Amino acid sequence: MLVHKGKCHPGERVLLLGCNGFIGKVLTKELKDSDFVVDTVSSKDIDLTDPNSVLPLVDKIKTCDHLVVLSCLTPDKGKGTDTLMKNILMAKHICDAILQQENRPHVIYFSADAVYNFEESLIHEEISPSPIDTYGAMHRTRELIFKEAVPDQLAIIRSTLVYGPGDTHNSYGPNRFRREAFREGSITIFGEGEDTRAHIFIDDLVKLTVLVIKNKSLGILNGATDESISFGELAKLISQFFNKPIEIKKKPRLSEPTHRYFEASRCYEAFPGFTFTPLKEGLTRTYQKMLEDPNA
Amino acid sequence: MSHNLVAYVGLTHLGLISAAAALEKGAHVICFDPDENLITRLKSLKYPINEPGFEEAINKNKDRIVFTSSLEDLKKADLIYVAPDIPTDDTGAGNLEGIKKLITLIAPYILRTACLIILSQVPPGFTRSLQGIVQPTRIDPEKIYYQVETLVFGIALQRALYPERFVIGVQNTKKALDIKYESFLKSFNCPLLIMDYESAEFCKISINAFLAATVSTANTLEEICQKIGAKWSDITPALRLDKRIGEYAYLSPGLGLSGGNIERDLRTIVSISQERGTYGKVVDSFIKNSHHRRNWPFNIFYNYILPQFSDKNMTIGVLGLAYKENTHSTKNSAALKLISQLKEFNVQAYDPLVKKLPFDSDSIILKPSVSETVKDSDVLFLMTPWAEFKDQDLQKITSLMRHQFIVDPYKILSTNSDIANSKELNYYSLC
Repeated sequence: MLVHKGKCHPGERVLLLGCNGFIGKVLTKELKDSDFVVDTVSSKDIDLTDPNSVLPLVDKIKTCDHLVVLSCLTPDKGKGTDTLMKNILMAKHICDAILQQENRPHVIYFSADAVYNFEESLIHEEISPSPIDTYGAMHRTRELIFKEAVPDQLAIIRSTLVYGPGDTHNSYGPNRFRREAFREGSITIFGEGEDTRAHIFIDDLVKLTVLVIKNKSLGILNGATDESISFGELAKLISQFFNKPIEIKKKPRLSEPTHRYFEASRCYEAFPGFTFTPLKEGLTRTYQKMLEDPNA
Repeated sequence: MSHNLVAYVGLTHLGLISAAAALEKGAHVICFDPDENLITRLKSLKYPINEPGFEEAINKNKDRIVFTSSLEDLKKADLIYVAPDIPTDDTGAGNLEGIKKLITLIAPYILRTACLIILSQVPPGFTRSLQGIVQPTRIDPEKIYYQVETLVFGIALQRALYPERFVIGVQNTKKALDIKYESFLKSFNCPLLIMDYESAEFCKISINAFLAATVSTANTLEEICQKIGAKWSDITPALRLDKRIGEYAYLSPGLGLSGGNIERDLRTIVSISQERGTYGKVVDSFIKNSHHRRNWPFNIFYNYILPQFSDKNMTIGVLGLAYKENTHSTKNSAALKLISQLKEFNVQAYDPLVKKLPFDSDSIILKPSVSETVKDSDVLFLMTPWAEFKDQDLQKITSLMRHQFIVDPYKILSTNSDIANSKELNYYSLC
């Protein structure tokens, strides 16, 4: 649950680590539109896995009021132990730089719903994290590293699957299904697509993040809607956007189906008046954007 | 029955109801509380509780009751019941400091022949731990008892007069019960179950755990019914006819465990389970289910109602603030939880008994009547199943509202009229 520590003043400075990713690009624009002074760092600017990154980071962080950490090697960049260790090293170097600051910034760490297991059928912020894979364990470990560095100035956003135009990933879900349908006229699902997941529209996640910054919020927020859907239903829904028949191809399942639902009441309590974009509306907006730019 | 002089110490809901029941059974009663203001109010017949039959019982027998702040008066008593509230913190854990202080205060004024009976809800081990407190006094350790109370707000006096059984915790089960105490208990004509302190203390907790299990199971199954198109209201009669479940089981769907006492006992079980290494997760789940359930009205509002309003500057009416009907208590009330969640909206609320909120809020206005609360509301929540609300005409209510969104978890309003089927009415309830 989030606690708000006050309102931001106009012109407060935000440093965004991981600005070139899917979320980073949209968030940078939204922050600028919201009159923040935004500084960004991408992996091309500073290699956060390198111990030498600490020094330039110290200078960068010195000038910021809010530090948003998006930098992460996602599973599509590799799922092995090497990726895990690199991600943890990144967190270590960022925290080393934070700890050298006289005035430590408000830190917003982007985690993932992978920190939860599938034993809980309904996830909310008070559920204890219990990751079941190295990706989830990585995010949980990084959460704890940040918590140790800035225990009283940390907000953690645990995001579920993000979709929307401009996604740089192509993982199993709305963006891959849309692209497959567009380019190949088919969507491939595992089994009958029984697994159930929540999805969050990129604009909603970015809006929530800006609210967290504006309210100087601390604590945990799940970036997830309370609208879950099976991948099979999702594939059908996406196929309906196209004027041609879309074949739903089925690959053998590799494991038992898993389901994940979220309870968003704590998000609504934290930000009264905020509502999530319904999945169908978000998919429609994404589809329309793709028609304008087929690479979206 | 004999002419016992029974004292009640700590004039809480429990203490006053128990005193009224003792009066009705012919006892002479001393009501003691160190709070002189409370005693003054009670002497002028201003009672802090609302229970059917309570005032009548006190007024009818006023020649046999004394309200006092004088410790000396306790020296006359044969039986001394101690019944203060055990306050709970935000996590529902009980704080025993108050009852310990109270017992320390009264102990020097208790005769060696008198019985000291703990009526408050205490954890296992508490009553035995009193030996240390009473050691320097004249109290006979064998005359310290723990008596299980099963107060139910709204029908408290009826239950106090006609208990299903008395469960008594004693220091030594081989010793006979004090004769005056036994005589008093027998005047209630119900079975007496005598056991050691720890068993009796845990018996009370066990009763609440079973109630919580039924409530949690009913709520869990009702939620599934909503998802799969089954009707819980069709299923419950079948369950009630099963003797293993029973006619009086708590099967009506609701908004979790309210009132505070049951949750406190569940927390005690979880705590003991953790300390002693037993598997207590099932009981922890009852608490979590209750918290989940309490969010039901708020989730309905956010998922189904709010998206239909482009202007968020809406007015929300809330009928009912007490945690259940026939009480002024708002402890763990689902209505208060909802109101705290709606603090960014304009809320107008009404309750027949609750006239003050336990927290400050600029956005909540307490209204004097149902119609004043409903008037110009965009959304109406019926949060406590008061009889007064059941009598309301749905047509009249909807005609007063600006928009017709009604969240009525307990199905208080009758939806048999034509208006219930109109397209303008958006009605949400548990099934």
